[in-house]
Amino acid sequence: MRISSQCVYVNDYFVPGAGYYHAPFRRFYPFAYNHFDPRLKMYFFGGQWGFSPFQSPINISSPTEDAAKLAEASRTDIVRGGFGSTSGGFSTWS
Amino acid sequence: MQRHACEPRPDWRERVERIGLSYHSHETGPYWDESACYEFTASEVDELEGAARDLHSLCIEAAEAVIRNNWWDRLAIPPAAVPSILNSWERDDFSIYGRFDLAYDGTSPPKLLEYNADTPTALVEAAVAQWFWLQDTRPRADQFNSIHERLIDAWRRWNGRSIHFSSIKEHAEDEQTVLYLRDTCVQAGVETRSVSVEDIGWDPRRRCFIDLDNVRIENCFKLYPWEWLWREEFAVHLPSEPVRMLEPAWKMLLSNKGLLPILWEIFPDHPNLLPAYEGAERLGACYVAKPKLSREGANIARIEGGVVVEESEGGYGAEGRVYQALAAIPSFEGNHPVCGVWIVDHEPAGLGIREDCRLITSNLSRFVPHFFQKSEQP
Repeated sequence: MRISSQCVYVNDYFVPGAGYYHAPFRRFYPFAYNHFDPRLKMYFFGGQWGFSPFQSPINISSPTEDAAKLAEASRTDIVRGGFGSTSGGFSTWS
Repeated sequence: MQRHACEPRPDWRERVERIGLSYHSHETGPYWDESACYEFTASEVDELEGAARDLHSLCIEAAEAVIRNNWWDRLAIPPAAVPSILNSWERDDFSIYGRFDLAYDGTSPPKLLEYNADTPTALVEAAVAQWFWLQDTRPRADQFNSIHERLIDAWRRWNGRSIHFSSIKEHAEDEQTVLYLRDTCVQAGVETRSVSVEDIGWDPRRRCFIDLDNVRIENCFKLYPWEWLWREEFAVHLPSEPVRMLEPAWKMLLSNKGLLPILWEIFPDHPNLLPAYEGAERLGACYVAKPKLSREGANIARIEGGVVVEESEGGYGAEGRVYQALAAIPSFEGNHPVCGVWIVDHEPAGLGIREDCRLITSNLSRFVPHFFQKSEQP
């Protein structure tokens, strides 16, 4: 399905080419939410590194319109099912 | 024009199934109905053929007027679709087929009810099933039917090398219609593939539509209404025109009942047109109200004496309605036929008749075969 600001996504929802969704920040990033880098000994969240994991009650959210557009433009996976929804599978034509 | 009661062939179900008409019956009765047939004279067939040829030309002129005057709102066409329509019109993108539904009683000139110019069905019945019925029952008679040959010729004229054929899943009539069209395309020597509408994919790297084998879809015959494509998720990719569709985008102008008032406005009193307007006032108390984009007779209301006397159900109408004068649809012992004249590659190619006990033809209306007597050879 197309990435949309009208839909909600959970933390670490992954879209090839766009990355991992970080719900508190409403954007996609190249690393998973609170990804730990043992070399840096730091955690990644919302496009930055911190010494401790980011704490947030938000685990699900919708991306901003810009973030959804950017994710859609950068995704590299094949998307299917973008046509056919109006028919409901039962209509005949004319 | 006469209606005859006939004795159906004893094994008619098996016979029509063998040629792809697997959807010959509804829960409520037969859809393919050879317990009756219609007989025409050669001159009546000529009249239907001539009317369809003229109407197709009128529709093309009316479409030009829509473009020239930017009458997009009159057809409820979404703004995003306009550039694609204009491009396909300018390129004169290839159109394979369409079907005029005409009211005709054999006496008065045929009158246009609507033009199914985007996703017409009842094709297997008209092109194949009734032809075999004719060979079995009246081999000396003729039929207004060169649909099959015209389709093959049209595909030969089409200058594409390969094409995908697409319909929705689990719908026998659509699948058979598309399978039949694909067969005519194969007979013309074109390479074909199939993909369900729902299985069409978008490859963001190549920026193209693909089938289930990830093969690029460059040309696609789709038995799926344009106005539906434009409202769905993948519509975001349509403006870049990554695929050439059949029917082409410009057919959105012809398949729209919003064209009926425009036709009447440009060609008032044309013998093959019924008065039609965007408001009901000028038609008095008797008229038919039609949603601009309805299909299979859905949401059509027949008003007589200011009262709705017949109305069909459906999910259309939000796009607006047009209002058309009542057509004199004949009654043969309570059966009302509508003549569907097929257009293939811009030329009339054959006839299919749907009849119903009601005056509104719907998806349950019966398909009844026809014939005419061959002219005496000098």
